[in-house]
Amino acid sequence: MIGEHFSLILLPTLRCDAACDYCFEKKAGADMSIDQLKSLISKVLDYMEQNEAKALSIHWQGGEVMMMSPQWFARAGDVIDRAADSRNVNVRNYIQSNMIGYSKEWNPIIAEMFDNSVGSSMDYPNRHRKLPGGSAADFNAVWIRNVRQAQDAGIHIGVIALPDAETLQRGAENLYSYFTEELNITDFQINTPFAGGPADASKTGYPLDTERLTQFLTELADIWAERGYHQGVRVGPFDELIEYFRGEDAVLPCIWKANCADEFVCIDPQGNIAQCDCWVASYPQFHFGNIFKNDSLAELLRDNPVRHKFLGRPGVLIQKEECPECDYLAICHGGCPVRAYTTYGDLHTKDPYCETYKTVFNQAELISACLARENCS
Amino acid sequence: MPPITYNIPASMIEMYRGRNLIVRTDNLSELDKSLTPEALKNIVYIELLTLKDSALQNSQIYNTPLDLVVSDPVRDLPRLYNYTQWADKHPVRVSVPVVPGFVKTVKLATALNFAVKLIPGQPDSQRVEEMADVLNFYLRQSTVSQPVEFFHTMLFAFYNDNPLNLWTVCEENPFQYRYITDQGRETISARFTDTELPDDLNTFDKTFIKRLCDEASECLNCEFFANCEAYFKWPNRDFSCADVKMLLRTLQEAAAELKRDYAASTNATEKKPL
Ligand code: SF4
Ligand code: SF4
Ligand code: SF4
Repeated sequence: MIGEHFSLILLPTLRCDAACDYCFEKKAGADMSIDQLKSLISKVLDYMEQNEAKALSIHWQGGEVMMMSPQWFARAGDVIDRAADSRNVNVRNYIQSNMIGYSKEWNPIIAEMFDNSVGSSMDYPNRHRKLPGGSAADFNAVWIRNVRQAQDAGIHIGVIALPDAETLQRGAENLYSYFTEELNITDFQINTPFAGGPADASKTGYPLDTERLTQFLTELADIWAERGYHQGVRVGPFDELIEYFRGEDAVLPCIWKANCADEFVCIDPQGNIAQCDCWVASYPQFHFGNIFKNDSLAELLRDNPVRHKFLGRPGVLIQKEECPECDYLAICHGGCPVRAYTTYGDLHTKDPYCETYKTVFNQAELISACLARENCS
Repeated sequence: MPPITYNIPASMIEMYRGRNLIVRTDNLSELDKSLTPEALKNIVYIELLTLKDSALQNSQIYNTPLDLVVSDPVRDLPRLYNYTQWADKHPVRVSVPVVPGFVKTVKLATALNFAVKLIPGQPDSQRVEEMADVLNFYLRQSTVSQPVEFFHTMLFAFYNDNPLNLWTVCEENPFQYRYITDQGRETISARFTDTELPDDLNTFDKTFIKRLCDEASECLNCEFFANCEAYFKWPNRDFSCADVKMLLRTLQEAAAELKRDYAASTNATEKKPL
C-alpha cells in the first residue's frame, strides 16, 4: 500500500491458449468464479479501508485472461464497481493479454472496463511464443491479425518485449523498425528477461550478457530520442525515466520502486497470494497465504513471514550491496527480487542487471537534459 | 513574533496544552493511544527517538509530520525503509547526527524522499569532508528532491542576501523554539540539556551569543557571522571553523552561481524575438 493507493495483480485463470517455451505459469486448475471474486474484492476493500486507501488498480493477467469470456468480465466489472462504490473507492482496471483469443466481441468490455487499452507481449525476433502444436510464425500471424483488428477498432495496444541473445545480435535499429514500422506499435517496453519457473532450453542464456544488453538499450534510447520521442512514440523504460528526470510524475516499472512488496500483491484463481505473477505460479514456497482461507487480508499480510522477507529486502541490500553509493538509489533500491532469486537463488541480492540499469539511468538523464534544451541533437 | 514552539517529552503534553508542540517519543503506539484529538491539533511534528516502531497505519497520528531521529546511523540505516509509507501521507524528515556512517543514511533518506536535517555539532575534519560530499550530492544530484538542512535554507539565505542564521535553521533559536528536558527544564536544544545556562533565554542574542563571540575571537572577523552567529562555538569555544567555513563558502558560491544562471536565463528570455 503506497499512500492512498493499492495495486492488485489478479489472475482469474491459469489456462492459456498459447504454448510459449519460457512460460512459468502452471496453466492448470479451475478458473475464478464470480462468487469467489466477490469474496476476494470484499476482503481487499476491507484491507484498503483499514489503511485509508482510496484508489485500487487491478492488473488482470493470466494464464491468458481472454480465456475468460467478455461476459465474465462484464459481470466481474459490475461486481467490483458495486463493491467499490459502496466503500468510496476508485478502481482502475488494466488488462494484459497475448491477444490470441481476441475478437471484436471484446471491444465493448475493453472500451468500458479497460479504457480502450490492452497490454500485450511480442518479441523480436519471436522464437519462443508459439501456439499449441504450432510454430512461432503461426503465433505471429494470429497476433498480428488480431492486433491490427483491435487497432482498427480504436484500441491502444502497448507491448512488452523480452530480448534474447538474438535480439541483441540483430540490434536496436532492427527492433525499433520492426515494432514502429512493420507492426505499427508506437508504445513498447523492453523488459529484462530472467529464468523463472522450471528450467528449460529457452532460458539457458539468462540473465543476458549485461554489456551487450546495455549497448543494445543505449542504442535503442538514442534511436527513439532522435526519431520517436517528438512523434509521440513511447519506448519503455526510457519514456518514464525521462519524465522522472524532468521532475514530473513518472510511473516507473515495478523493478524500480522503493519496495515492490509495499505496492502490489498478486492473487491467483485458487486464492493463493504472492508478491506478483512471477512468484505465484512457480514458487509455492513463496506464497503469503490464501485469501479464500483467511478472513482478513490485513492480518494475513501483516503476519506472514514470507512477505516479511520481501519487505525486509531493501533494508538488507542497503547494508550488504553497494547501492547506498549508487547515484540512482532513489530510483532502483536494488532492483527486482525475482530476477535476483532466479539468478543467485537468494532474494537478498541486488538485481543481476544492476550495471545495465546504471547505464540506462545515466542515458535517460542525459537525454532528458538534452531534450530540455532547444537545440538538442 | 510567531508563538514559541516547545519541544517536549510525550509525558508533558497535558502540561503544555494549547501551545505549539514538537513531541518526543520512542513509542508511536503509546503516543497514539494517549493523545486526545484536541492535543493532536497542536502538534507541529512528532520526534521519534528510536526507530524500532514501524509505521502505524490507521492511527490518528498517521497524518502528523514525523521526524525520525537517528542516533546510530549504521544501525538505523535499514530501518528507514519502515517509514516509506508515511512519506506518502505527509512530510517525513530524518535528523542525522554528523558522526561516522551518516553519509549513507543521508543518501538513503533522500532516496526515500525524506527531508534531512543534519545535526552538525562540532565536526572534525574528516566529518566536514563527508559533509562536503553530502553538500555536493545535495547541490548536483538530479535525484534529490527534498531539502537537506542546514544546506537548503542557507543556500536560499545566501541567494536572497538574507541574514537568516544557523540557530534558526537548526531550530535552536530560543525566540522560536524551546527545548524542555525530560526533567522539565527549559533550554535551547538537545545539545544544551547537560548544561545549566546562566542567561535568561529571552536575552539569548544579547548575552549568550555575545559572550560566545567574545570568548571565541575567530567569530569577530568571520565573513559568515551574519548567518552563523557563533553557532559552531558550542560547547568548545576553541573549535576551529576553518573547515566549516569552507562548507559555507561552497554554499555561498552555489548561491552566486544560481543567481548568475537565473540572470542569464532571464536575459535570454528578454532577448528572444516575439
Ligand atoms: S518481484 Fe520483480 S517483477 Fe515481481 S513485483 Fe517485484 S519487482 Fe516486479
Ligand atoms: S543500479 Fe545497482 S547499485 Fe544502483 S541501486 Fe540499482 S542495484 Fe543498487
Ligand atoms: S563560522 Fe565559526 S567563526 Fe564564523 S561565525 Fe560561525 S562559529 Fe564563528
